[in-house]
Amino acid sequence: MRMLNARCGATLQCCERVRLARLKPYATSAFVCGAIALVASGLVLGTLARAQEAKPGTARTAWDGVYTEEQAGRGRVLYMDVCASCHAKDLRGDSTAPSLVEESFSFQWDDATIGELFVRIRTLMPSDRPNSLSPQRYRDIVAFILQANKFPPGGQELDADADALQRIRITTKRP
Amino acid sequence: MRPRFAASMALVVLLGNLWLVAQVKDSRPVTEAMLRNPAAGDWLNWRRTDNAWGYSPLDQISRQNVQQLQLAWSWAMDDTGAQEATPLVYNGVMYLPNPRGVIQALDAATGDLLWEFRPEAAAPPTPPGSAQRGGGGEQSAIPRLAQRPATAGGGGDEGRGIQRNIAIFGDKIFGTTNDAHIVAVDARTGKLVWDTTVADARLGYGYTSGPIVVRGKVIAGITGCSRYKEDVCFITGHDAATGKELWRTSTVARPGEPGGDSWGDLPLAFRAGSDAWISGSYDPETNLVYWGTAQAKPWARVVRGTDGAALYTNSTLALDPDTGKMKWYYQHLPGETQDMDEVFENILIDIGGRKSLFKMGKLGILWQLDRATGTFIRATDLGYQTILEVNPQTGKVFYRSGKIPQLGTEVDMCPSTAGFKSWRAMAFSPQTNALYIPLNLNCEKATFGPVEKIVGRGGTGPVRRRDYKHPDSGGNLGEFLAMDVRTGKILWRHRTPSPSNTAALATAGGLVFGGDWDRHMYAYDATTGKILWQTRLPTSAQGFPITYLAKGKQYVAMPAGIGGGSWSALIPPELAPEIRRPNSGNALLVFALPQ
Repeated sequence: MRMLNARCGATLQCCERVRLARLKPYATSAFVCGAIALVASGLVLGTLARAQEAKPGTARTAWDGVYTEEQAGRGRVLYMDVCASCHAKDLRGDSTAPSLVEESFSFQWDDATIGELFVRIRTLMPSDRPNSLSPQRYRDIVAFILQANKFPPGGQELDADADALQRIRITTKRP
Repeated sequence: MRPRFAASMALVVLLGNLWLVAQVKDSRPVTEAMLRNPAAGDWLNWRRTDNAWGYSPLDQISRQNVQQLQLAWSWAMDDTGAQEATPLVYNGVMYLPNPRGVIQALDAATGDLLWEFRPEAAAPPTPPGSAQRGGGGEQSAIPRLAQRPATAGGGGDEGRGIQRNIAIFGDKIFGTTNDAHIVAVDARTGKLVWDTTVADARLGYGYTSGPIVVRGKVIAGITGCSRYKEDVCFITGHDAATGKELWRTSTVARPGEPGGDSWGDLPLAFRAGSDAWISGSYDPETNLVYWGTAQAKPWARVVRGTDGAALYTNSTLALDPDTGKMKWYYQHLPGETQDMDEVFENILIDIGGRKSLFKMGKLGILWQLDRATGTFIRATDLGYQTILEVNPQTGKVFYRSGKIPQLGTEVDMCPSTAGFKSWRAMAFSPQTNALYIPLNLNCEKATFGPVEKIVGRGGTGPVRRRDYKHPDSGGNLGEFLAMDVRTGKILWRHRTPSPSNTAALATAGGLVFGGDWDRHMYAYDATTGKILWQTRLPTSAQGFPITYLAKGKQYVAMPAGIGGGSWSALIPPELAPEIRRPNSGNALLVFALPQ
C-alpha cells in the first residue's frame, strides 16, 4: 500500500483508489492518478469510508429506477460509437471482450455497486484510451448497460456524485 | 453553377486525378523465387522470410555505429483502430497496412506517399447528437475515417480493425479485413483488383492478420470464432490472380470426423474457438505451410461442457499449400482450460540435422517439433508459469492441483489471461543461435463464470479477474529475453517496468531491436543484451519493426500505436497506472545513420 502510494505520488498527481477487478473488500486495487496531490493517510481513510458505505445492506438497488430512459438512449449512442467494436452491438462480446449482459453481467456484477461498475469502466475503458470521456458520458453508458440488463428506468439520471453511486447495489434478482 | 466555382471544382478534380495516378515506378513483379529467397534489402513477408526468423542480413547499422541512429522520416497512420502493423518493403517502396483495411505505398527513403487504398465507405453516418467532439477537450470515440465497421449483432469489427500484416506477390498487394474479406490491390497504383468475401462478418468472423502467399495461393486464417454458430473456424487458400477460394480447412474437428469425439458429444454449433489469428510459415522443402490455432471457446472446460482435447485447438497444423490437406497436427495443450493461447508464430530452424519448428504460447513454454513429421522433440519451460507441468521428453502436459477452473472458484495462476507471450513475435539470429522473446510478466486470480448454450451467444465466458505482478519480475511487467535455441539456456534478459510491446527484430549487424509500452525503442547488442541505443516514441512501440535498404542505405522502421484489442491492453493501466501514454498516435518511425 505504502509503496503504491509513493509511486503514484511521484507522478505529481493525486491518486484515487479504485477497486478494479471484481470488487470484494479485499479486491486488487489500482491507482488512477488525477489532478491534485493528496496526503496518503487521508486517501486511505477516504477509501475505507467509501468501502464501508458500499457494503451490502444499503437501501437503494439498481431496481429502484436509478437512471432515465433518455439517459440510456444517450448511452446507447455512445456505446455503439465507443464500446461496440469490442463488446459487439448486442453487448455479447467477442473473442477479446466479455459479454456485458445476461449471465455474464450477473456473474461479474451481482452484489457489486453501480459506483464500482462506473469506476471500472471509466478507469479501464475503452481499453486503448481509458478515462477519455467525461464522467457524464461514462454515466450515460452505465445507464445503457443497466437498461440492457433489464433494470427499469426512473425519473432521475444517475447521480453525478460518485459516492452516491457507490451506495446503489446491483442485484441480479429484484429484491 | 457559377464560373468561378466551376473552375475551382475543375482544379480540384484535376489535382485529385494527379494525386490518384501517382504510382510506383519501376515495379517488377514479385516472383515465387523472390518470396522464397528475398533480396537482402527487401522485407517481403511479415517475418521477412518463410521461416519466420524476423532476421535481416543487413549490417550497415551495426554494434559499432548504432549509437548514431537518428530519425530519417515518420508517418502518422490512421487512428481509426488498433495498431499492430508490419510494413513490407520491395525495391525501395514501403507497403504499409493501416487499421481497417487501409493500405499505403510510400517511398521507403523519404516517406512520400505514392498511393493509398481506402476501402469503399460502408459505414452509416454517426447519428445526430451523438458523440460530439470538443466538449471539455475529451475524445469521445474512434473517428470513422475509414470503413469496415461493425455491421450487426455479433461482430464485424474483430480486433478493432487491426491489420497486422499484408502480403505481396506478382503485381499485387494482398490484405485482409476485419469484416472477413480478402482483397488484392495493384502494387503500382493501389487500385482494387479483387475483393473476396470469405465469411459472414455478422456471425463474428473477421481477420486481424493478413495472408502469406505460397505457390500462387493466398493463404489466410480467420478469427472471431467465439460465438456459437452452425459453423467453425478455418484457414482458406485463394487463387492470387482472381481471389477464388481453392480450399478451406476447418480448424475444429466436426462431429463424425476423425478427432470429432475429442469434443465429447457437443454439437457443431458449440465447438467454438480455434481461431487462426496469426499468420503462418512455409518450408519449400517439406512443401508444408505451418499455422497455429487458438484455444477453445468458452475458455474453461467446465464452461464449454467437455473435458476432451477439443481438436484442433491450441495446435500447430501442417497444411499442403495446394489443397489445404492437413499433413499432420500437434496439439500442444489438449483440453486447455484458461485462455492459454498457442496460436503464435512458427519459427523454422534446422538444429543438429533436425528440421525443427519452434513455437511459444502464452505459458512461456518453448516447443520444438520435427516439422517434417510433427513429432515432439523438446519442451523448455521458462519457469514463470504456475498452471501445469510439461514433460520435457514427451511433451505430455499435466495440470497442477487446483489449476483446472471450476465454476465460481478462484484459480490463482501465472500468467494472467493476457499471457507471457502474445502476438509479439520472437526473432531468431543465426549469428548467435538465439531466440529473442518479448514477454509480459503477470499473474491473475481468475474466477470463471457460466455461459448459456444458446446459438448466437457463447464467447470466451465471463471471468472475474484480479491481476498482479509476477512475484519473480522484480516489480516489472516487461521482459526481453535471449535464449540459446540449441540448449534452452538463457543468454540475457532486459526487464522493463512496462510490457515488451513489439515483435523482435534481429540483424546481421549484431543487433536486436524491440520496444515497450512506455514508448521506449531499444537496440540491443544481440550477444550481451547491452542497450546500445534507445529513443522515445510518440506513443507505445506497438507492432512489428523491420529493416530494409532504400537507395542503398539501411533503415529501421518501428510502428508506434495504441489499441491491441486484447487483455494485454488492460494490464498496464491496472498494474502500472503511473505509466501513461497518449490516447492516440498510430505512426511509423523510420531511423537511419546520418548522411
